[in-house]
Amino acid sequence: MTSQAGTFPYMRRAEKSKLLSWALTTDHKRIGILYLATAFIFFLVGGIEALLIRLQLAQPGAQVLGPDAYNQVFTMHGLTMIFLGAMPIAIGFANYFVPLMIGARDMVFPRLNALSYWLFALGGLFMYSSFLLGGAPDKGWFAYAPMTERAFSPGMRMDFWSLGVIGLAISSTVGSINIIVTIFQLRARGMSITKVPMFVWNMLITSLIGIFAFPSLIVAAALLLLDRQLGTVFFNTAQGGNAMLWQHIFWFFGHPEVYILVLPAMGIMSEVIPVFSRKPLFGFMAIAFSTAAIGVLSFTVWAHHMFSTGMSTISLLFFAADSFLIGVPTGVKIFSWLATMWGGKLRFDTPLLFAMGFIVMFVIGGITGIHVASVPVDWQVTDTYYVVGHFHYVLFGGTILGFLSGLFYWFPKMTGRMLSERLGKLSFWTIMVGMNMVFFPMHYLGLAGMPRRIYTYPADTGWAFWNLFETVGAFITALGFLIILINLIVTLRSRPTNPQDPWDGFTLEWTTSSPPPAENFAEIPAVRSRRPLWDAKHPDMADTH
Amino acid sequence: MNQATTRSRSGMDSAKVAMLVVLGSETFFFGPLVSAYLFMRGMYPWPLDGAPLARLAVPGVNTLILLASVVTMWLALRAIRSGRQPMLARWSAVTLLLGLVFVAGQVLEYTSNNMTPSDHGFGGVFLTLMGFHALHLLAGVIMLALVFFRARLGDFTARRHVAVEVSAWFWYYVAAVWLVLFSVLYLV
Amino acid sequence: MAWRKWISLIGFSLLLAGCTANPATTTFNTNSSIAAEKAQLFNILFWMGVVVFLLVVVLLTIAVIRGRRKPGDTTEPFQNHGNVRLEILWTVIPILLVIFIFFLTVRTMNAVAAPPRENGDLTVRAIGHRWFWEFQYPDLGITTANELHIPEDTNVHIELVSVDVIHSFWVPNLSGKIDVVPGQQNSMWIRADNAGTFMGHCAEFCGIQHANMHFNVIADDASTFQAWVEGQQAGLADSTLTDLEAQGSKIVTAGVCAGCHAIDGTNMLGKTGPNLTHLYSRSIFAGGFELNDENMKQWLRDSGKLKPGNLMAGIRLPDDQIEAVMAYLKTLR
Repeated sequence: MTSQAGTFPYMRRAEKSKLLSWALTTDHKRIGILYLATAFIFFLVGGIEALLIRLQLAQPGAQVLGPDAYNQVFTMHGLTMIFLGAMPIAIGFANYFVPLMIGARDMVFPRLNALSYWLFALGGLFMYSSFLLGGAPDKGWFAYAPMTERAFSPGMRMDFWSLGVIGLAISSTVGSINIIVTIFQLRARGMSITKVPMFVWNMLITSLIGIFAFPSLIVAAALLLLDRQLGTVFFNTAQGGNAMLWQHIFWFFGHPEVYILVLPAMGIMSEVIPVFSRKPLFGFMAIAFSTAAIGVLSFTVWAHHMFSTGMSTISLLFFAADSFLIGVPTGVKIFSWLATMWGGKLRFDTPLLFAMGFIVMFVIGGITGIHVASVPVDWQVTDTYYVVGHFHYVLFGGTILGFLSGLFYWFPKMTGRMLSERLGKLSFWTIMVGMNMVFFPMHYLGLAGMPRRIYTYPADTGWAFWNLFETVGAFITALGFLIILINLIVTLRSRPTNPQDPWDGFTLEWTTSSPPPAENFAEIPAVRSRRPLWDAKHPDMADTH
Repeated sequence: MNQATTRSRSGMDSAKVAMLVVLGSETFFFGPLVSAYLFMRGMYPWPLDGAPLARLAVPGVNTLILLASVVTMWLALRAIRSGRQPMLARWSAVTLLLGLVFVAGQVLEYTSNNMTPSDHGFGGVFLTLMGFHALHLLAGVIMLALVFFRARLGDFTARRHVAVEVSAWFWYYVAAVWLVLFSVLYLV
Repeated sequence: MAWRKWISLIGFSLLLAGCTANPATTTFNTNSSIAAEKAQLFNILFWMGVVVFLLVVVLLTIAVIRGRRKPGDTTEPFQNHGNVRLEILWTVIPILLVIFIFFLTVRTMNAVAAPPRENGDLTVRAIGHRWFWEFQYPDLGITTANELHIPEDTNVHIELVSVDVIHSFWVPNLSGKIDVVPGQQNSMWIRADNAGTFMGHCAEFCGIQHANMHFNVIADDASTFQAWVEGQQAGLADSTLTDLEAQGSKIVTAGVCAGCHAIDGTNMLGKTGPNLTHLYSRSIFAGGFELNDENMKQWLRDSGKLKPGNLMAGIRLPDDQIEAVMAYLKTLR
């Protein structure tokens, strides 16, 4: 299978131990798999936390979790899904496939790559160790000051938040730097920056957003830590600090983070949809520019998370207008994907199903995004379940469905085994039913006045029915992931068939064996267009540009 | 830094590209910090407002020391570009020492202000801006120490000295950040 | 796959239509021009969203139907790389839509902007505590908690104050929310076009009992409101206490209660907890619990059971004192 190359040279003797060879690996494919496997485990833990939340909210006055446990669980659910699930899954895919797709033998800094993985894994374990050491962070993933100050959060919970988040942000920054430099430096001959596969382009933009956004998070977390440990008063309102300062610094990171989470999945969409439609990506340059535009705009809209904080009318209008604008490049992508499918000869394998699910679900998240960007509507729905519904359509309906599409698409390349299509389709439909049952009624509940982050609610509010309905949906969704888990386990235990190019792909990763050998390619292929493999298969219909 | 970087599409050494990316990222670290300071300054009277010239003695001299280190850094870089390794070692050592003197001066300045972090908003700001900058400068000192020892070992040539180049970039950058901090803390 | 979306969409419309069933707290069943303007804007944006959504679903469905591969067909389709005119079209149309939505947003913001203060307006200070709302009427000299009485058809200006962390003041039927930020002076305005009781919530996560930080807004006609004001302004008649009540009074005023609570006409001046002066003129207490014997008994015995983590949770009255204290509290009308 994968070779031992790429480990530290002085550790050669230790390679007899398989475990150690994985622990010390600097091979981008192995690190990619480590990232994906670790993140998938964290993702399942975050999912279990979601189920606990749903159980607690299934009935008014339920006693499944007390308020203290509930607050820890919903905080850790958010932190886990964002920092330990979605982001590392994206970095894992990028680690494995960016070098393969650009015709490189590894990432440019393999040892740095290992460092960022281990920072992530240990950061995650550190964060979770808090459960055993006095409790997990319990003030929400955005940890609004002054509630996070010592006066209101004694103990170590928020110190775990600060230190854990700093470690994870450094890990992601290092990973982003590696991805950026790899894409700049290691592209195959003939692959100009406008001819990289769209997934690679999206990872480039994502990583650029990352290196500019994460420092802000580090600043926020570091200042909080100083407040708590050295007694500075940045956010300590009782002694001259300022609560808004926290929100500005945090959301300057926090909103770009949304695009860090969703652009990689959009990149996967832009690979899967063309291959399964048998057509090139419609309007490649328009999609590339819209991705870049989203990247730039993402840094100018942070205060739309703060519409209800008493901002001046002029700021409200600026941030509202800016936020509306992001809808335009997003719309360009959606319509370009539809146009890619239009007139294609579609193959309805599981990757395309999840991709179509992404389109429909993400559109809902986008539309409700316009709703919450409209200031007067936001004054009603912010901090309610409407927002929870909105961002789950973006992050579940978008990011997660995109990742699942990528999982089914690239699994044969990573393992030499095809996931079961039957189980795949079953899991797709189960998840689609389940997720809509969970997340759609949230919009209604928000409009019906249900604030988010409440551990219980009175019976006379009329919220009970749809909460129970959502809980049922949550378990159906969980069933869908159970099917995926079974699919993974069964497939991994089966004999590999090593299909080199099972989907009749377009890009360089399909020109090498499955799984690829050490250093990926016997010979680095020369590239003339965006679909080198298509050109090789169809010289008569080769891309002209 | 990895000297033996791979062939590159950009025509530039990968370590240099990486350093540029790092410096871009750093800018978004100091940016929010400075913004946080200006944000607080908009709300409360800054205790150093209308500081007499004498107030500027320590930070002023310190700034001159840092600027001198930029010159010596440049001399070190120029030495290795024409292959003079002993000169590189000498100038990088001088730069490193000037950096340490600067950090010592910063500590002196901070303690002479009689500000503890918890006194008021600005004690913390002062500590944070100067502290994070000093940490960066110490990172630069470590890079220069590595350059120094490798120069003594004869690792560099006129053509192969990317570690010196990126260390110099980092050093210039940290000095430039200080000029910004000096301006907003003392002059504006 | 589109049918499932259709069903959920239709379901949502039915929800929207059927939402009037529960008037306790909702953003649709509005009782003020402020909330009505916002609901109207939402309705427009909602239906615009429905149209966009249907457009995408229809296009996808057609693409799927047209794209089905005939059995045995192994040829590749026409390779179409893009179409500049189309791409410009689906860039420009969204831009126009966005400009239109921005225009609607500005229009609604103007419509709900706070009107200048006039004679006859009411000013209220809403103070967020962990975890209940205190209400002060500076012009009337009234301090109360958990229930905000306002006259119907009157503009009420609310000054938002926090004594600890960030809260957010929200009465869905009457208006949107504005955060209550410590160290910052925020304000908003509400009005109730008709009399009624409207549930309010703290909308910003504020700690362990964020969930139990509800309040009621009670909009009365002018004379009922006036009667309430006079009742609140009147002192307590303490000469008529029975033995049991007097015994309770002693426990309350001499005990730890005074550290946090205030009762006018006694030595109790605490500011952390709700003002108890006219406690039994209210129908809820402690951030949303119905004020009845059972709840109050439980509260006095062990408030942490009812509301875990509340700031009074460590204080438990022994059983033999509860009856007397209850008797005394009931005189606070």
